[in-house]
Amino acid sequence: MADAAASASASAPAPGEPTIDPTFFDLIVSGTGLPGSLIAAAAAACGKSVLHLDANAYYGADFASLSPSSLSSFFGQHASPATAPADRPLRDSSDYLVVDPEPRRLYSEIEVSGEPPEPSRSFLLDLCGPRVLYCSDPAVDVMLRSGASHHIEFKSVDASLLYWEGKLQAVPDSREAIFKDKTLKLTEKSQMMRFLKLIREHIESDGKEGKEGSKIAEGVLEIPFVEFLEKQRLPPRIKFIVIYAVLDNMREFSLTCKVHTFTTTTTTTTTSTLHHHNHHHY
Amino acid sequence: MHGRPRRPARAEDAEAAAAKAEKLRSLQSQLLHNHHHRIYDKEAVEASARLLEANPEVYTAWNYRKVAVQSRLGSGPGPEELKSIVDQELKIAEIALRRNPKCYGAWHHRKWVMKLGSAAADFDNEFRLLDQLLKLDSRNFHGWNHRRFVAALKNVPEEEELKFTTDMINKNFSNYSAWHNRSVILSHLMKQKAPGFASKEEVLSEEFELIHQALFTDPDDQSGWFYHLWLLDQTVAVDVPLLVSSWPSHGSEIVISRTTYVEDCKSCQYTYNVPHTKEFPIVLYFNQVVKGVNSTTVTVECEFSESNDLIWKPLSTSNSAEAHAWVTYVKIPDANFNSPRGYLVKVFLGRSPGLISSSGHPFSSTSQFGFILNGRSHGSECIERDCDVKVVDWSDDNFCSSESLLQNLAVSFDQLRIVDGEPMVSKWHSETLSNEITLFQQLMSEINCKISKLTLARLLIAHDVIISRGILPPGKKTHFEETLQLYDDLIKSDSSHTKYYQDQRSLVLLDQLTSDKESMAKHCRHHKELASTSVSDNVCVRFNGLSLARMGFVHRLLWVRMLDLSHNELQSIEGLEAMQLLSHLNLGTNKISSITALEPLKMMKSLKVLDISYNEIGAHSIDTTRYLCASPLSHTTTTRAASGSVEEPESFDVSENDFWETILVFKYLHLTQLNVVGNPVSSESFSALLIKLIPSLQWLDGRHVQRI
Repeated sequence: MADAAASASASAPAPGEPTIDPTFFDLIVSGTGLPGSLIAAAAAACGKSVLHLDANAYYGADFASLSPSSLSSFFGQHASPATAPADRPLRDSSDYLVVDPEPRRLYSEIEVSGEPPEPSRSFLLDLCGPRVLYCSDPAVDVMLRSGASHHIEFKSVDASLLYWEGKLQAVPDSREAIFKDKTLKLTEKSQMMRFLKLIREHIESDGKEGKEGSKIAEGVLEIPFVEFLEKQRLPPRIKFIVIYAVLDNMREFSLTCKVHTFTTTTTTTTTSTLHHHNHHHY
Repeated sequence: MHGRPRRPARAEDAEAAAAKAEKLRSLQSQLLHNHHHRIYDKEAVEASARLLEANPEVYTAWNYRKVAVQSRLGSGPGPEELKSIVDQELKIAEIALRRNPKCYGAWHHRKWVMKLGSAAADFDNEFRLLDQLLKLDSRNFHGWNHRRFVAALKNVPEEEELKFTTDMINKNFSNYSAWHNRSVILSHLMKQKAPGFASKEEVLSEEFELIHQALFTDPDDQSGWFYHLWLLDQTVAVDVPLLVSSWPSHGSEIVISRTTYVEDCKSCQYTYNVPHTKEFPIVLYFNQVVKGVNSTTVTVECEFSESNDLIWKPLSTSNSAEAHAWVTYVKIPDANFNSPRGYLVKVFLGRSPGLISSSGHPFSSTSQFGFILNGRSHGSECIERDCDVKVVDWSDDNFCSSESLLQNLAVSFDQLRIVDGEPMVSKWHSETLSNEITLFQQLMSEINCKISKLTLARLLIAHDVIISRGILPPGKKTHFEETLQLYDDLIKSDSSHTKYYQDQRSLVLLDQLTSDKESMAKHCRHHKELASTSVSDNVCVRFNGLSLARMGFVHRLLWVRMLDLSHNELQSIEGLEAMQLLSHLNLGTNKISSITALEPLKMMKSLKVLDISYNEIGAHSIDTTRYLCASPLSHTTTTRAASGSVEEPESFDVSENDFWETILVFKYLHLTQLNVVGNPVSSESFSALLIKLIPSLQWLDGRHVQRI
């Protein structure tokens, strides 16, 4: 429980700012990201009154998808040195707690270079990597049970594109796509298919008798995924495709493989998977 | 449909099947009754429809419907009625095909109806249905066949159909039917030189590019490899028939001799011992099977005689009208043996039309070759019989190489090549093949798959063929060693296709051995005993112990008179029939398994000494070659002729099959020596039969033939 009125009176709203009415809420949620939205929706569904706040000028918090132009303003804002939380006036009283709505910073370091690829208006960028849910993902179940699915709109992924050498290119994510792809070299095609087959056979052999031969050795699974790719002698472009675009479709494998790759952050925003406008964001 | 597991039968299925069988039986007897009594009324026709709905495989019912349709059409129906008949039949076929999309009878019926009522047929609907069908199963070849048929009927531009195959391939490139249709359409477009397809080179380059995508994406998928093989064939194959070799070869000088002794023969000459028939062979060897070789299409001009009525015979066991090699025998008048002057003989091909390949391409460029016949004045005549008394011993000790041999060989070898411009070879050919070779070597470094190995071997061979056509600068090296290594690997790693690989390997090896005079000389020896006695030119080509599984490159061996093929893996001797000068042949210790496999010997007019010892003749009760060769079972005219002259089989105690086949082969041979020891078929009675069949035989299995 929180007393919005109390907090409002503690720091009176500046003239021109909207006042909030009513002034009493069962729950105040800060941040319009997925977890916040889930909690707010669940509480509202239970008949609670909820105040949902966000410090950003956009909805979605870390889950937001921004157009390239808003993204640069986002970066500009984040590039300025943040004031340390300790400097903030924190008043603790027995009645209420002052909470700083400033979100945790998503990136520790940001470096912006180059221009967004064209046509820049036809796509949005996810702030922290692709937010794709798989049909069998447990989160889907949570969203259905919490009722959050009523508030969230899903789109199926129509196409995957990859930003490589200054161009957006379709991700060859199937046998037919690899066949048709005109940018891959012939040997890259066979290397990529060979790798995909290796993974597929590994997954298919799981728990099946007499299929141990096609399983990837236990020791190999322990090594970081990037090293594993290194060992497969894949050319750089294929590695890039596998890590940022195709592995999305092979999460099962990436989990068993103890992948640490998805923590790469600073470069992902500009060079990683760019999902076409209005795909899959909530 | 592909990849559908069978469901085990259950008890209730059996009941349903019994009920269905009962229904089918009644419908079927009804149909047969109607069919028999030619009842084509509405009720009867509907009954046949019910039967076909239940079981589309009843071919008789489809036929009945065809007859019924014809009887209705007989009254000259108007367009309305024709349309209703056509629609009705199409509907029945559609229902049947929905039940079983691979029902031959239904597809055939549909085709028949479409053809009958093409004026009334709804093509759009037909294509819609086909699209639906191919969406369900894109590899249903019936659907593809029907589509080809309908497209031709409607006169759909072939470019459109080509586009359709592209779309289907893009959806899933593991589709034999799509690739096949593509090859059919492209062949036709290239032949017609349709706009955009006039340059075969451009079209093929693009197709190579396309197929690479499939092969590199999934080398384990076979459909693409088959298309690649077709492309390779398109690149290398020469449609136009060409003369590749002859005997005597162009510019050669042949000494005609009646004597068997020839002293100090000049090294540049080749001595031909005229047999008692006083005939002299001219052999033509073409790059492919040709027909229409006769005295009008091939003219021979010789100074000593008018030869307008020469009879050319095809040298083939399977076909009496076409062959790779053709032979004629020129009569030489007595007078010409005694004068030492040279006579020029010229042979002209293609002066008048008629000489065509078996696929119908005419021999376009006229070509000619000439040689000199030299009479020999000195030397005494000797009787053949006396010359051949000694048994020829094929053991290694009896062979030696000598200095002069290489010289002699050099001459006879160079003569083998007939200079004949082949305009089909361009820079594009060699570049394309080199590029293919590089690509597949790359692929092989990535993956280990047998079909890529086989393709690489085929590419290397194709490349060598292009090189050997000789337009390109010399000095390009051949790939024999690499190709042999690939086939050796394949023989080891893919046991189910060993025989095929062995055959291919044999051809490569023979190509290598006969490719130039150095390698040829390594396998040429003098026969010591023959040198001192009878055969004037005693050079023996020894291809023994080389694991040869078949013969090939015979066109480079037309001059050979003594050939040792012992200790190989030969099952067939097909191809040897072109060797009209061969007199001594050793086939000992091979895998020849039947007498019919020896049929090519019948055409070898000069053959005197034959060794077929230690083969497998008679070991196999089923003679697989019989169905390919002439035999009493294949109703050839020779059968009756042969059977008349020899006594009943009982008197020889040889099993009946072996008996007839022995007669049909050995009756035509004029051997003086024969060795059949070590074969399951050999027996006292078999020997007696052979002696009876071959009157000229003097030595059988190393023993002198005693005739009473």
